[in-house]
Amino acid sequence: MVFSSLLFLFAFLSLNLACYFLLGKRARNGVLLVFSLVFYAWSGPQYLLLLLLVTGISWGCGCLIAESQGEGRTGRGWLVLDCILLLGILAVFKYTGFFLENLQLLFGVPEWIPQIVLPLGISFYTFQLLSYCIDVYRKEAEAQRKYWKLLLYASLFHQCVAGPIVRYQTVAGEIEHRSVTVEDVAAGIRRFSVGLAKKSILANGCAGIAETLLPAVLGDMAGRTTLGLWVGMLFYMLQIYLDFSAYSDMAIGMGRMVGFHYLENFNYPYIARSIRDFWRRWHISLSTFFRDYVYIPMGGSRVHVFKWIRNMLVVWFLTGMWHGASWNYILWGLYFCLFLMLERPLRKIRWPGILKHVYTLVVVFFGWVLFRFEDMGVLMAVIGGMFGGGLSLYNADVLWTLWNNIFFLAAALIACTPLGKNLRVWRYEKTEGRGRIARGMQLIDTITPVILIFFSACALVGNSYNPFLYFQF
Amino acid sequence: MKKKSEEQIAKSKRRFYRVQIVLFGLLMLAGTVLGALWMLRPTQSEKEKRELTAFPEFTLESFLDGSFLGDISTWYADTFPLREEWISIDQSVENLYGIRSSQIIGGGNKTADEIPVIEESSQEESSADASSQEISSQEDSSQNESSQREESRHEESSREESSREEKPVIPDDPTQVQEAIQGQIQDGLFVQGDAAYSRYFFSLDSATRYIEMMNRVAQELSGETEVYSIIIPDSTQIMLDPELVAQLGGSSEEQAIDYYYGMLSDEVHTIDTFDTLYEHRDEYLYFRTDHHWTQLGAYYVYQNLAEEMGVNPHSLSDFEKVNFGDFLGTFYSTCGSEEMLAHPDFVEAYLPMGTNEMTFYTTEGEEYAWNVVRDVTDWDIYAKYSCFIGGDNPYSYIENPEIPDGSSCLLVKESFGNALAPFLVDHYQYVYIIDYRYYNENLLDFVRENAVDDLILANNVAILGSSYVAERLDLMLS
Repeated sequence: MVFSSLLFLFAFLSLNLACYFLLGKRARNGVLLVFSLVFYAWSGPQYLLLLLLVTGISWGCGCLIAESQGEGRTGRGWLVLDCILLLGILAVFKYTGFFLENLQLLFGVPEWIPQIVLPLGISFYTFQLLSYCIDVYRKEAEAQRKYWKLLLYASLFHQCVAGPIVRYQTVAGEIEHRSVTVEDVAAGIRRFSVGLAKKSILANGCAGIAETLLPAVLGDMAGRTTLGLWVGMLFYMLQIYLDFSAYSDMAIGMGRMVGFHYLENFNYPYIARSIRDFWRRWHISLSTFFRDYVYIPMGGSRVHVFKWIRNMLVVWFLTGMWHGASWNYILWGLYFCLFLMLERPLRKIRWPGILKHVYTLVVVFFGWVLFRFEDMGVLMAVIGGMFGGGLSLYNADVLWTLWNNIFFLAAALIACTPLGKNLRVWRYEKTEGRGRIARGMQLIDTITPVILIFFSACALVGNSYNPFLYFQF
Repeated sequence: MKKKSEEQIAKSKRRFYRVQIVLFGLLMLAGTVLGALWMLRPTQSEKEKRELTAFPEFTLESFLDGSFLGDISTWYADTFPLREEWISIDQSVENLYGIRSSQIIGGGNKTADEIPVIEESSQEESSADASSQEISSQEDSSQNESSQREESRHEESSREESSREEKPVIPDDPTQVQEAIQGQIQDGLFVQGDAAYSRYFFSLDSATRYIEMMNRVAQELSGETEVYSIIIPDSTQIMLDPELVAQLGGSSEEQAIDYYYGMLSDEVHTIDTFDTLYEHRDEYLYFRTDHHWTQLGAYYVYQNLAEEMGVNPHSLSDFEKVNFGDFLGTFYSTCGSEEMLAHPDFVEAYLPMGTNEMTFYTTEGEEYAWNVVRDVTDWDIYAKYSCFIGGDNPYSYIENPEIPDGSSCLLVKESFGNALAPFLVDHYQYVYIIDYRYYNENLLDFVRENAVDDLILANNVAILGSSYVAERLDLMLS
């Protein structure tokens, strides 16, 4: 099940909220757990077993680490065991095919490569559970003695399948005890509705346009135009942010409705002034994970320059690889690594602000080109095509597509900036919550969520529109 | 004093929050209740001309691999109560996305083969084998019908689409053939105001196969049966200004039809379509909201056919004209244009004089007594083109008691031929009609067994460009 589906909205979520608030406080964690397991099982009940197993390993290791600590003992062995098992399972499911394919390419063996289906959300929940054990080991969190509560943390449908990667210490207290205020519920609803509209209206729209303008296979390149590729990539760049951040918005919103306060995962990355800045704004929960659990333990930047380069390469190799088992993702990670390393000595120079923005957006833009095309042949053809490469500059189709969606494009661009948020904050500050303008703003806040959800629902039904034209009844 | 007012502000804020929560709760409740109203769920869509997703059947296997539950999600969204209403709201929103006076819908990335120029010398020799011609052409660069055709807008299925195949697989299933043809026509639709126009991409491979097939048929039937080829252009290049047509890209249908006709052997009678229709382009020859021609368009081509056959065509005023009212066709279904809705097409038909009785057989082999021109006034607004010969069926025949001379013709067609068929009735005792997309028997056997005098193949040029169609036509000879 995905958040942006009618079944989720009008069956799963509505029932979940109804049960949560009607069944009384003591049942709340139970309600969340049952719904989370159903949600997870929806994408294939067999993978639920894997989730239960991986959680079991971490629960056991967490308890054992806590038991064995004290009197000079650290419980390190159990932590190592947990890491080996969890990363091993992740590697088997996610990277076996990739590894064997490369082996086959180099040595011609093995002849047969198993097709392993990637279990839903495995990259996210594995990292969450790893962070749990590491935090217990570092005494930053207490071990959770109850298996089902750790399972609730790992499987919670808000964030289990698409992030953010919530650290155990962020929610440890709220799992045991949380209170829900009217403000929380209202803020959660606002956040959720914004996320839903961002996904089902903006991101899906961008995806549709990008798909018509970008090639999927090499044979698709014929008839493309240079302008079409640029415009297509622009829509893809918008899509990927709107889509991903929308999932985080919805997760944060749904958490807030029931009293969880997850940390922000995106902070308007496309207004960043450098690549370093970009990665502090993009998928924050992932970059902090790698920073705190890989980069800093290896020495971070306060080491000899060669070690620093090694640390950077390791972190960005892993970041790339986390996104997918294909070379283009690794290339994508290392591409950012390169710019981050180049930025470091140049940081002291004062560049004009506009130049910084342009530089960042251009680098990120080409990053998404690498990210989009898993097939190296298509990737090369697209990059070539973007700079002429034998394609015609533009055709009527591309101009029409652009013209037909010009307001939509403007809306999507604005949705990537903090314009709306700033306007709201500025209005509130100016009025200090008093007077007609403040009440007007509150009125807008009050009705916006239902309007957004209504139009999102229409868009979701609209997605099922699929005329089959020659059919006769 | 100030503190008190802050408390008041907080209180007033909370009041708004409560209203907000109640509104949200009501909307969710309304959606949930509506979604749960099982009996309100539609099972088919007239507008989209398809069966909606059915509730999946439970099996242990499909449950375990998640496909059962996934299909429930699809079913839930696809058959949501009042879906057409929600969809039209969504389409109105999408109409605000930009300036949409001219619009391209879907795909639009096909490339055409260059239409070869027939050299005079080789034209003389052209007989049985078209592929041996010396023709200057470019290689088929990319023919992506399969990848572009199903712009399935389902989220789940669009992900699966990433495993696209480059070469189209030849389907046996008629619905797949339909889909393929649909893609051929609907890919990259150009919408302007209350009308839509399809674009044409010439395919040398498909052309060659049609030409070879026709030449073989003519050779085999030489001396027994006269063979006629009618290749019908789309509305685009007849009705739109040539300048705009050039902007749209694609191939020239006029040149393509010339090429087809030029490559056919002398034993095949070719019927002029393009020039005649172009001369009458200020008349109502094509629907604006549908890819078909009107029966008036078919009439002008029928005149040419009669002339080529050496018989006198009946004049339009000889026929009784009926009007079946408003019609919204496939183009409307694709783009949902409000302007089309406000200004729909209408369907006019001309009743054959000798008889209006006919018989057709469905793909399941059921026999139906029907009308050559059926009164469809009360039918769904999307179904009005079905007034001709009962729509698309594998096999139909008409017997005209007014001409008891044993004369007969066989019309091999897809849906464009439907509007032409009624005009043939008053020239033969027997008119046989085969829709090659669903007919699985050998064509030559049929012609010989029924001692058919005239074999007429009437096809739309864009549909002929589909490799699936070429494959189907090939199959009719095997």
